[in-house]
Amino acid sequence: MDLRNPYRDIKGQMSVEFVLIAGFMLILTCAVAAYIFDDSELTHAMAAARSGAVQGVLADSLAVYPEETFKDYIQEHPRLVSPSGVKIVKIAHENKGVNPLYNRTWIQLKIYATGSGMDSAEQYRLGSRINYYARKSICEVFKTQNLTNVGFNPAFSDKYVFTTAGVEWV
Amino acid sequence: MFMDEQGTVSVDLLFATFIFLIILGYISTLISDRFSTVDKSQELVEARNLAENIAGAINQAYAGGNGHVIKIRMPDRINNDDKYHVEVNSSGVLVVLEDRRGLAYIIPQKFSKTYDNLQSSTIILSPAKEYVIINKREGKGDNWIVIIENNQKS
Repeated sequence: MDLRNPYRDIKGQMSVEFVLIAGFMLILTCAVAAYIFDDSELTHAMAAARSGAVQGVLADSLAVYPEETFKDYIQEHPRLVSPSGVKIVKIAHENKGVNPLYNRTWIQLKIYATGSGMDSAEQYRLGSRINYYARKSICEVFKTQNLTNVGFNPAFSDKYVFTTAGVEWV
Repeated sequence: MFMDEQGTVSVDLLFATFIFLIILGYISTLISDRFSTVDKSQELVEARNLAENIAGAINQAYAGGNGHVIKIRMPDRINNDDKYHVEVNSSGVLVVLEDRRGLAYIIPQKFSKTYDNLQSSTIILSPAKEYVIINKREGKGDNWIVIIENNQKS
């Protein structure tokens, strides 16, 4: 403390050391920020996909469908209008590199589900609904509905484009 | 000491608040999505629950034999939808929401919406009303399920 000016420390001056450390931290933060945000966006999208997949499973399990779907099922797949025990086992993703068409990193989602008493045609329909809701949820979270089609295929985030492989029934 | 008395805020607090606000903003959309999912799920669950409850009551009335009566009360709304209705016929119990349908199967049987003059028909159940489900045997031996509003049993 400067004895000639005892108020020096309480007037807001910063030491050179502090300025140096703060500057270094700022540079370090900027350097890792881009990497963190990319990774965080993917985590965010995967959380949205899981949330959507759960909604799809609920629609499948409770068998309460949109009108057109209901009419189709009652004619072609009457088994599907009854509740069924469908569960999500896991949701995996694979980085397919940069998609030149959309200039975004292409991520393919693969959802694993389980359910009994269904033939392959019924599983295909239930799986399509799970995938649809997963893609829809991603688009809704990142507000990119205007970039895609009515089937939300593909789904977009700011830096990624998402597609879904057929649901694997285990 | 003087700094605290003059209401200044430490850099630590400013930094922590800034980080907190960024995180909060970032996850708010995801939270909103989850709430929307829960709301939609509630609608599906309530619709399925209603269809199965009515189907169960009809099956119980049928199994109970001639004269068995069960009262049911329709909920005021399903989630926020008070325009829903339920259609009952020999195919099953169909819950009709604004944009969705859910069917519960029942034991095949004849339905009538009039007690004295038995006529096969589809019966519409409306929100916030009470109905009675009656098992009535026709003269030649067939059992009918009659569903009428509780206050107009005639």
